[in-house]
Amino acid sequence: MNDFLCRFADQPCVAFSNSREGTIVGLLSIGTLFGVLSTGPIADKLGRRLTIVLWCIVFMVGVVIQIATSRAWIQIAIGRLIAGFGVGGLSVMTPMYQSETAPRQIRGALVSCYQLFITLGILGRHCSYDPTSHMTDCS
Amino acid sequence: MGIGFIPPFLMAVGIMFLPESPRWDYRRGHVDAARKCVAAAYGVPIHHREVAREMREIKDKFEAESAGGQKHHWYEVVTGPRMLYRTLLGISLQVLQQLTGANYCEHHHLTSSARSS
Repeated sequence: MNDFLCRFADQPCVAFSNSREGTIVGLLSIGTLFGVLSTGPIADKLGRRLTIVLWCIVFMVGVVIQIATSRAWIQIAIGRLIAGFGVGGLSVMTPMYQSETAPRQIRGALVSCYQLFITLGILGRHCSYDPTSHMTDCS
Repeated sequence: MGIGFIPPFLMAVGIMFLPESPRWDYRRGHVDAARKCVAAAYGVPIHHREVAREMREIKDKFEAESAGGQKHHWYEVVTGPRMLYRTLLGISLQVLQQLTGANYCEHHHLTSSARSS
């Protein structure tokens, strides 16, 4: 994480200012907002399947923007904004597709699995946080 | 950060092997495709009564939605009959869920334990 601070923080290698940290973190949620609001009409027009593919591609574009920079913190923030569109769109589309397609006997279980796997993702993030926080290289 | 590629890639490729949602198919007039998808999801032949029941449910929902005319504006989430109450109920449930502070506790625990280690 030290490498990340040296590259992107406004006091290099020391700390982020609150405003910069807040911008980077918060832009994802703002992207999510627009993703969620825009996905309904798109899903009605393109169909559930193609919309899911579309948002996956949008998310991957966001990831590309983030890993393509070595110094610019704005690029990290914008990349998170674009990735946020994908996150928002998928967080509507996935339960929608599941609940529309699943047989009624397992419908509840399947949609709950969506939330369960989000929680598993958070667990994975926590598990990876501690071992990687001591790493000093740019990975 | 490249790990972020794996889940969306799996999802984008995987979803192409799955059928389109029967409810959307039905809306678009692809009734046969919808029936086929329902039968596949239930794992039964296409003339099974469970498929017929599900198709009837889809039809009823679709007709109930079209009963007030095809065109609904977005602001009807506020102006529609009893809709303001429902919208506010949904919003407050979500807001109160966030206000329990579970996210904050989790994040605080993460950062404080990282500092002390």
